[in-house]
Order: sequence, then C-alpha cells, then structure tokens
Amino acid sequence: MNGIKWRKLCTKTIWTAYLAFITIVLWMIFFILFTHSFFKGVTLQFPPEGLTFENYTQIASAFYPALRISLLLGVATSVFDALLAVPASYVLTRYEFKGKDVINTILLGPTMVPAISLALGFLALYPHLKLMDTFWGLLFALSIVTMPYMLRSVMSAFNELDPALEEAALTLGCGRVKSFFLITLPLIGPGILAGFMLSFIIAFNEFTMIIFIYGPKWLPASVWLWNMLHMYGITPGFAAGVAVMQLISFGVLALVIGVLGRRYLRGVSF
Amino acid sequence: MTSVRVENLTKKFGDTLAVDAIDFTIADGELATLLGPSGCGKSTTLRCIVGLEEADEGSIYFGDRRMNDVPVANRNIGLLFQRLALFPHMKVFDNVAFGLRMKGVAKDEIARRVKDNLALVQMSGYENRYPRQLSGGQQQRVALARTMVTDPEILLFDEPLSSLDAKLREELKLEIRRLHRQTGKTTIYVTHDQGEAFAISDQIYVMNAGRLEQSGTPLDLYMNPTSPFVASFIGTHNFVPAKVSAVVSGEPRSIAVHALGCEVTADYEEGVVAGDDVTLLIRPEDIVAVTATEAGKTISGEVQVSTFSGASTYLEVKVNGHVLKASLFGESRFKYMDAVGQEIGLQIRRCSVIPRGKVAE
Repeated sequence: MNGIKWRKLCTKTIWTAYLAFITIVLWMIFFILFTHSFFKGVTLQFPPEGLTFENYTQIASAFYPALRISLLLGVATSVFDALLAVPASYVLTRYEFKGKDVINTILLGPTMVPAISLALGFLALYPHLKLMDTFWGLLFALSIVTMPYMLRSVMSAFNELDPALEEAALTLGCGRVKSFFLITLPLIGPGILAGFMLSFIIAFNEFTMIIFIYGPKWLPASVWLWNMLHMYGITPGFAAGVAVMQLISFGVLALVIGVLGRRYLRGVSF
Repeated sequence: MTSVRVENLTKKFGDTLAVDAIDFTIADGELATLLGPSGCGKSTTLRCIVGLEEADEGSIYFGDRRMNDVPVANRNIGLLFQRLALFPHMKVFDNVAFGLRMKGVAKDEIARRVKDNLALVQMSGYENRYPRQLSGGQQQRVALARTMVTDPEILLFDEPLSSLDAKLREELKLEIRRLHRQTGKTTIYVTHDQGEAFAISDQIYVMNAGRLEQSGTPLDLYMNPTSPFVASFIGTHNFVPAKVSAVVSGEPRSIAVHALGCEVTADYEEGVVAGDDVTLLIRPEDIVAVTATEAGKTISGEVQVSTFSGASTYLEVKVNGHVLKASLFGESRFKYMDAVGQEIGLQIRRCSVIPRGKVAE
C-alpha cells in the first residue's frame, strides 16, 4: 500500500474509532437508565434481568401528574417566548438605535451566568411578589433561561429575511399588518419552530431554575425525580421516570428535525 | 396614464445629503432614466417616488395629485427591485397573482391576467414552479410579470439588470423597451450603466452627488454635455484647454478654437468671445488618423499606448505635451495596432465646449 492510501486508511480508522467511542459514551450516559427501566429489580445490575413494563405502571399515579405539569410548562414557556421574541427580534434586526448593543447583551445574558445564581435571585424576589409555587412564577423563571435560545433562532431567521420582500408586498398593495402574516411569518416560521423546540426541551427538563420556587401545587417532573432519588436511590421506577423524560425530549427533537429538515438545523446557532 | 413631477425633493440620511433639492417632470407615457454613479441619489429619488422613503422636503406629484402622504400600498405603482424580491414560499402563479389578490380581483380574472402576463414575458407554463427552481433570467421575467399584472399607473425599475450576465442583460434590455412601446406606460428606470440608459430611454436625467447635472435625450447628452462630469460619465473623453479664436454665427452655433496647435471648429451654445479660455471635449472616436498633413488642421505626436480590441484600436498619443486618447476604426485600426513609439498624424473631426462655471470633475 503506498503512502497516500496508508495515510487515508489511518485517518479513517482514527475518525471511526473516535466516533464509536463518543457514541458508546453517550449511549451509556443517555440510555443506561432507559435500558434498565425495562427490567425488574430494585437495584441496578449489569446485565439486567427480567424484561417488563411494570416499572412504568408502578410510578404512573405519582409521576404522571408531575409530568403533565412539566409538559404544560414546557409548551407555555415556548409560546410565551415566541410571542415576546418575534417583535423583539424584528426591532433588533431592522432598526438602529442607541443602546442596541446593551440590550442585545442583556437579552442574551442568561446563558452566561450560572443558573444557580439566577435561581437564587428568584428565591429572593418571589415571596414578595407572591409568586412562589405558582404557574406564572415558574413560567417567568423558565422563560428567562429559554428566551436567549428562542431569540437567537428568531433573530437569525429575520436576518435571513430580505427586507425587500416586505417592500415588494407594500408596492403590490399589501398593508404592513397583512404582509406580516402573509410574507414575514411563513418565512420566519422555521426559525420560530426551531426556537420552540429548544425552549420546550430546556423548560421541560429544567431543574436548577425551579428547585427553589416550586411547591406542592406545582411540582414538575424533574423535581419529582430528584425527590425519588433522594429518598430511595436509583431504582427501576426512577429509571422509568427518567426514560419517559428522555423519550419525550428526543421525540420532540426528532419531530422538529423531521419537519424542518436537516437543511435548516445547520443554520440554527445553539 | 400619468405624469410624474418631482419638486424640490430633498432627502437626508443622518448628516449625509442623499438628494439635494431636485426638480424634474416626466411626461405621461415617457420612459425616463435616472443615470449616475453609485451613491448619486438616484435610488433614493426612486424610493421617494415609490413611497418607501419619506422626503424631508419637497413634493411628488402623480398627475395633479400630491403623493407625499399617500401610503405605498395605495399608490398604484409597480416596482421591479434590483434583488427581485420574489416571494420564495409561493409558486410563480401565486407570486404574480399576489397584487391582484390584494385588490380583490375575481378568481377567474386573476387566472386570466396571470396567464396573459406570463405569456407577455415568455414564461408560460412555469406557474407551478418555485422561484428557487428558476434561473436568474427566468426569475427576472416572473418579477416583471408580477410588477405589470396589476396594471399600475407608473412602472419603476431599480437597477433590475445589474445582477445578470451580459447576454441576458442585452436580451432583457430590449424586452423592457419592447414592453414599454407596447404598453405606453409612464416608466422610471434607475441605472448606473450608460449603455442601458441609452438603449431604452426617451429622456435621461444624469445625477451626481444628489444633484441633477443634466437632462436630455441620449443624443443631447452625448453631443452636448454641459459639465465635465456628464462629459466623462457618458462615453469616453478628452478634456483639452483651448482659446477661442472667433465666434462663428449661424445654426448650429460654433466657434473656432485654438488647441493643441491647430484650429478646430467646436459646437457651442452659450455666449463666449474671442480670446476666452475654454475646455474642449474631444471624444476619442471623433479623432481620425491621417497620412497627408494639412497645416493648421493636423496635429501629430508620438504613440505611447496602443491596444487592439477587434472592433477598434485604442491609442494614447502625446501631442504638444498633452496625452490625447483616440479610438481608431476602419482600416486605421489595423495600421496602428502595434504603433508604440511611432509618429502619427491626427485630425479632430468634432468637438464641443464644456461651459464654464461648472465644477471640474
């Protein structure tokens, strides 16, 4: 084998080994609990024994109310984010004004600060606003951490949108409001959807932001699982709960990628 | 059918004066072009007429109606953008039908008019394609159909051909002219390309740094530019200092000038007297090579640059200390295609005088 062919083979082998390693490690991290949820046994063993669904039915009555709350919060946060991000992105991408850079930094700021410090901020503030253990209290906290992702996605969509399109609509007799719904919205739709996906998955799984401000009325799934872990350690029931969360998260991811196509995901910055 | 009148139009962007108090009137049915280099204010002027920019001062009239406060959507105009701006999420049919749907036209009439206009631009059969599936030239035609289908009072074009290759530009240039002749609509065209402007316009408005430099037919601008800027922007040029020898009366007015060591007759309009210093515009294509010498008429010098380009040969000749650019056609172009270092005899067939008082370029 000559020099070039040998080098190519080596490179290919190294890349394959690297990818295989990453895949296995990720598999172990993501899916070890997933796999164990389908087996009997109080503690985790490897290899597991006794294939069953009983772990899922066992936790059903206790877990699923919490799951419903997480789903509701996930969707509500994403909708809230979208409603705020669309007009904000429009202004940020189309107009120049004093202090624009400052506002930009503030809006994208939450990703640069440790979540725990944000969470403690809410803990200090909420009792005074009577927002402890409330739907809106949790929603605001979750939207603070998810908004930057929605904003980035929608802003990127607006940047791709040629302003001449809106002008063309005007010259063809279409008023500003109408052109927003006929031209702008369909074209930034993929951006909103991608942002929605990100917001949902983060809000659905979020733990740190809500750990200080939840209560018996509003107990999300992530906190429920933590409580379980705290009290009983890693059990197949716990594994089942985790598996459900993972299924939903990856399910949403797959659904949105399927709808948008890989083409769009390449352009979305995380 | 409407005329367009622009009165004292001024537009500032921050501290920059983009359009500086310009006035002009475009007659009903005329195809007028705003011509000038980048940044001269021609696009801004167009956008003020369309309503996409708000004028700081001045008025815009369509016929007798003052349009300054009329929203864009109500102006009944058709604008073809430089970037086309076809709606990417709609098929060709829906793109073209858009304006009609906004007007509330009946479904079957929409179908008929879309079909007719697509045929007009030779894009029949493409109704169900998306813009991204079309080539640049095809997109251009669809955009044109979309602009015309609503039967607007005024058609406006904002440098529509600048993103196309040379061959397509030639084709579409003639297409636009054909359509104008056919429909007779008042049309305003914006471009930086002199060739485009000359090919299609009834009237050209040359703009520079926000001001209107000169307006006229293509022939007017070529033969009698009134400023060094217009003289250099339209076609190629030589600027030569000269002294007036005598004013010859009659039509057309002409004067005899002494320049480069010879006597020439120059076209002229305003009043000068013998002894005045003027600047002559001599177009390279108006200089011919001669072999026989005529005293007082022939000038000679050494060829410094000689470039053969097929249809002509471009020369730079040093005459009396001045470098004169000449374009030779016909047989001379072969004779002097490789003439660097040679002596050459030249005669100036035609020239004109640039009026004083205009700032040098």
